[in-house]
Amino acid sequence: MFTKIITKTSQAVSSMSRRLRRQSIEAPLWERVGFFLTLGLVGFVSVFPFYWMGVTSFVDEAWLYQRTPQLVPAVSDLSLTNYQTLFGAETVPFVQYFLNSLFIGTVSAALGLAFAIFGAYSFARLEYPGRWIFSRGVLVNYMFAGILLVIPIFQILVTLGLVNNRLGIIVTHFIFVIPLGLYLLGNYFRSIPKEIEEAGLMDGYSRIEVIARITIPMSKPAIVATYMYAFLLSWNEYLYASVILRDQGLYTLPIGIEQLQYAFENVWGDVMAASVVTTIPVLIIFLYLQKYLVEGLSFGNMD
Amino acid sequence: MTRVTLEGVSKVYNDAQGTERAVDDLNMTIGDGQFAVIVGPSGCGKTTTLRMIAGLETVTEGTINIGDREVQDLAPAERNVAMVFQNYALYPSMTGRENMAYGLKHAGGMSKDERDEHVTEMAELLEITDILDDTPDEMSGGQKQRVALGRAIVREPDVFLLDEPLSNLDAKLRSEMRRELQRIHRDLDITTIYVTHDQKEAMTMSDRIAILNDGRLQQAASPEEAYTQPANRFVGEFLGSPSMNTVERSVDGETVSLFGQELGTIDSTGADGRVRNVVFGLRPEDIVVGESRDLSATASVTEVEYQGDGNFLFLSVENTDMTVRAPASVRPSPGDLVTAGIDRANVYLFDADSGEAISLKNQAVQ
Repeated sequence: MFTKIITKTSQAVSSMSRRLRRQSIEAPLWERVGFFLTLGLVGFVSVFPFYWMGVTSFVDEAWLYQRTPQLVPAVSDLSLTNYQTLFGAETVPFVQYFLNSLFIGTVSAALGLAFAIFGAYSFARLEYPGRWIFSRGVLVNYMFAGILLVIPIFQILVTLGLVNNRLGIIVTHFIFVIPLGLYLLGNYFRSIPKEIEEAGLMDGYSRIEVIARITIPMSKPAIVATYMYAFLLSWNEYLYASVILRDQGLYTLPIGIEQLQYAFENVWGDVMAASVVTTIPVLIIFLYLQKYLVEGLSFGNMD
Repeated sequence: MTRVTLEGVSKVYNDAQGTERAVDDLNMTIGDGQFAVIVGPSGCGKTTTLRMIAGLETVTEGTINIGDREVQDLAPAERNVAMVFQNYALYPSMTGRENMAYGLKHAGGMSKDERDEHVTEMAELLEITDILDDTPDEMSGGQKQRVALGRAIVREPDVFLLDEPLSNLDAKLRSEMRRELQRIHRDLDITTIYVTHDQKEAMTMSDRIAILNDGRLQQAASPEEAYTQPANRFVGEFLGSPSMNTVERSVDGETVSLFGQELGTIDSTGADGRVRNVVFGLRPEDIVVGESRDLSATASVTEVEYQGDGNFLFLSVENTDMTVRAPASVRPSPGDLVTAGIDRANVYLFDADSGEAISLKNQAVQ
């Protein structure tokens, strides 16, 4: 219903603006040029590093270090050598890092999400003393730079015997997923008309059944988005992983890539190949998320 | 026999801003099979009251009985009540049929075929058979409203609760649904409690009307009684459109007079022994223009609003503004001087301090 109205409105607006354009109400040329220049500049700054990462990963060292640097390699310069080295035996256990990251990301995001769903639901719907403090307080966590909390969290992990342990890093990432999850999901749950849940209560569901059968299915976009965001948070996290994990066999991708750089000097091709492989899941997730982000914005009317 | 009784029901909200009594010591009985309407301005506690009956809101004090069961501590599902929400609250991913069958399914005790048959039967009653397989997205507002009604009545609840169910519909559809609701109520004979802020809806539909203001019950009566014998000034002004004209005057001894003409005598001392001021209430349709009545005065016309079937005249009588609902044939021009009259029997009297209705001890004789 609502989307229909939006489509209709946007149709009306665009036909209106088409008509207006015919009457030549339009931004002057210099404004448009300025706009596209700025857009191009911002685009270049954000896209070029990715381009260069990709290029570096597909060429050999010699091409990188040639006297007159080039922006675009010839097809003959391209090779998969860096990737072969990366997945080969003579370098770091890259596949292991990948699996470590995957495992830690999947588990910490899942735990964080499960926790956040119930927490966020309680913030959004239930009345209890201290709710205000909890719902605000959890965001305070977000205000601290990660580095400030490194020592306290590390000490806690030492006490718990979780240093140099996958569980230790999962718990740490879980801690950082929670405020975000509570915040995102709390807002989303609030946007679901509570009457739908109340109708469920009157139809005979318990609160838990209402959450499981009405709230969660209706919040799928937000839940998927939160999960993926949480996964990415863990996937890209460097600081805590580098402090908590000691054994090479436990390393996640961000520290693995760094170690690659330390262990073998200036192997830019290998480092960039590793970066490309690390970036691919992120890209896939973002492409997927985009749809939900748009959906999330147009959400709020459920009837 | 499903009578709903509220005894001393209060709802108090405590939050950071302080304590708020949303509903204060409400006593009310709704008879078996009655169509009762709770009406009042926004924030008067009417929706809170309905939600307490539904079990969606806890009761701070008092008891609620449905039939002979005390229900205030029961979960909503255990009360055997059904509710229709203002925004329909249909499950968005389900078709009309699934929406209607959902509660039945959960209640158990019916096979799938029985449920289907039941839903179809109700759909026929509501004339929504052809949209049963649409999702709420594909339905118009009126259709959604019918499905929401269907979902509620299909469970054959003891009490049927409606929270401003028509306020999202346009005027034409609203009056259509109003008649529809009355027809369904006649057919099913379920005790119904209907909440609205629209006094017209309340007057036209109800067997019994309960007027709430500031969380307190002002009057519970038949619509006729509430209209013709308002218990207090609030009720008098709330019911009727345009609303009642009010004129405040002090009492001279025991005699009350309006525009220099004696109306009658009252007990001029209230419970606290003070001489009171009174408020005269004159309904716009009771005032006659161009004729003398028991009480008459000369009025100047300030504005005339053409209404099609009549005119609203805005008059100034001794610096007091009055609205009059006049027939179409009475159409003076602004600035004209006219005679405005009203019969004594049509003048309402309220205590200016407490707002309570006052009855005349003696009516002045002509």
